[in-house]
Amino acid sequence: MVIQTEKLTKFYGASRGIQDIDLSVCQGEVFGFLGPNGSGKTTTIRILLDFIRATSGSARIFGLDAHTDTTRIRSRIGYVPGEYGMYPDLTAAQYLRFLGSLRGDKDPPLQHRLVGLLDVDTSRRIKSFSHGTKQKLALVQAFMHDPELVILDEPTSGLDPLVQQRVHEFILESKARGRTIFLSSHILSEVEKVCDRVAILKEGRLIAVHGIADLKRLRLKTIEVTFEQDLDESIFQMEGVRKIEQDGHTVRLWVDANINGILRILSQYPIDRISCGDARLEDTFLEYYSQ
Amino acid sequence: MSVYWRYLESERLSALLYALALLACGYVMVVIFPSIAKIQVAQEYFDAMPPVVKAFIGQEIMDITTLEGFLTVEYFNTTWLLIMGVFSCLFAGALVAEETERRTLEIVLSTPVTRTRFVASKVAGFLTLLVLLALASFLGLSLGMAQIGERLEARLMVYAFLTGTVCVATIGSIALWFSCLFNGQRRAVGVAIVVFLSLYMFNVVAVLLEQYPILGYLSLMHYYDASTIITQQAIDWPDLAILLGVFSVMVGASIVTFRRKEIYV
Repeated sequence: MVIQTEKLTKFYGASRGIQDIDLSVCQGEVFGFLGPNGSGKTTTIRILLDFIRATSGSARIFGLDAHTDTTRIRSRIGYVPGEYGMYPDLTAAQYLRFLGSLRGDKDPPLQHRLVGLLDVDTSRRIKSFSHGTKQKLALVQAFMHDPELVILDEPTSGLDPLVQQRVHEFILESKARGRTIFLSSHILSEVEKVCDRVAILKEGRLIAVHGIADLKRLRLKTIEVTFEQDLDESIFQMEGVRKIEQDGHTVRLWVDANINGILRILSQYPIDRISCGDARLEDTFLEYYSQ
Repeated sequence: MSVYWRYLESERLSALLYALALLACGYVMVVIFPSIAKIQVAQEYFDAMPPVVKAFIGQEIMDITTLEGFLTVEYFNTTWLLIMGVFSCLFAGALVAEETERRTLEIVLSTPVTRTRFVASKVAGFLTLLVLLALASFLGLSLGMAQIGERLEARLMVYAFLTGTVCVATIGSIALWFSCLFNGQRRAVGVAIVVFLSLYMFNVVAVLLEQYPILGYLSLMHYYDASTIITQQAIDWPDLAILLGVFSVMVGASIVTFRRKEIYV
């Protein structure tokens, strides 16, 4: 296991951070860490990096204790924080050289490729960078030394879709080289594209861990029907129907079970148009939180 | 580029301005001395000062119509010490708290740099700046003396600056501890300045209130008195050892505090 936590718990005084988090992340895996703001994603990452200490439980990376062996661990990882500052007086090249020297690597193997891939002008001072360019620079420094594990906290926030796509491709390429990626995100389309498994947090507790394929199987289906007359939406309230939206003659249903029962009901009324498909992963995810 | 060089690079401009100010200050203090020495009433004026003021500036045991007396009273024990003390509070108070506040710390500490090495490198950078400022001060006094054709023995100046630099480094070590303790730079610097000025006043009050000598012993400035160095023409090694001891303890306490600190802003 690259990352393993057991009953990991953190309280900030009386307020809960995370509670009894059990996680296992394998080598070569892209592991998604999902949850709304305040669910404990960043707290977990901060414990893994020894920025804060667990109240109880254990966290191990590469089989080493995340607190006592943190220096050995950090020589093998890359990290993009959710919020961070950079030295505004340095150019991007100076900043990367500084971080490279702290890692004892004056010529990181992937630096030039990443700088080109993400189109970062390393001759400019960081103070002139937009949020998106700083985010690209943060990604370059996290991956440039080709670490065994990269921990990413909301890595593509502020990036345009084209750059997001390049980052996703690079993550998958890293995975193919046997690297492990731990990715905290609330962008489900991103998780769906790159992750093998996802853990879902709610109010500091781990409520589910799924393979991304399982999550897709659990995905809700949508049925959108336009009737020839107005109907009372209450006639669709039955087992398996999670959500109903009505707009005039059109009804939109989110269904998590066999849709045959629904179709039998629908067939009793004159239908103008009907379409059926998979709901977005976001809707499936949100459904978890409504339970 | 290590944390040490990065620190020196980031502070080079402000340190240079400080060094120029100290150079100019030392130069001006010396070149105005002949005018002060010619004023016969100057010594009477100082003699007539209330004891609290004389204690504050250390004038009780020195004749300010001599260059060494004038520099001790007006420069080493007051102007230079206050300027350098404030510099120490400003810079040492920012050493860690600035990086915490600006969130630059997280990416740096995601590399294999230990927290001990991080603080030690910053302290080394800070001490380098103090030495450079002391050299600029020395240069300022030397230029002034060349200008007026009088001189204070270089050895005595070195003794005074050496002990004084250790004293302000010790003040800086207290500011460093606040820097490791607090997340905000302003808070760390503000508290450090209050502590520095309080310690300075402790020393003054201890001279006035002889029944409370403990106040003097509590003050770092009690262990740096240029008048003793100049009149005895020697470093007061026990006092220097006490300052170095406090410095070591405070740097150690800062490292322990920072190692135990939970970083979230």
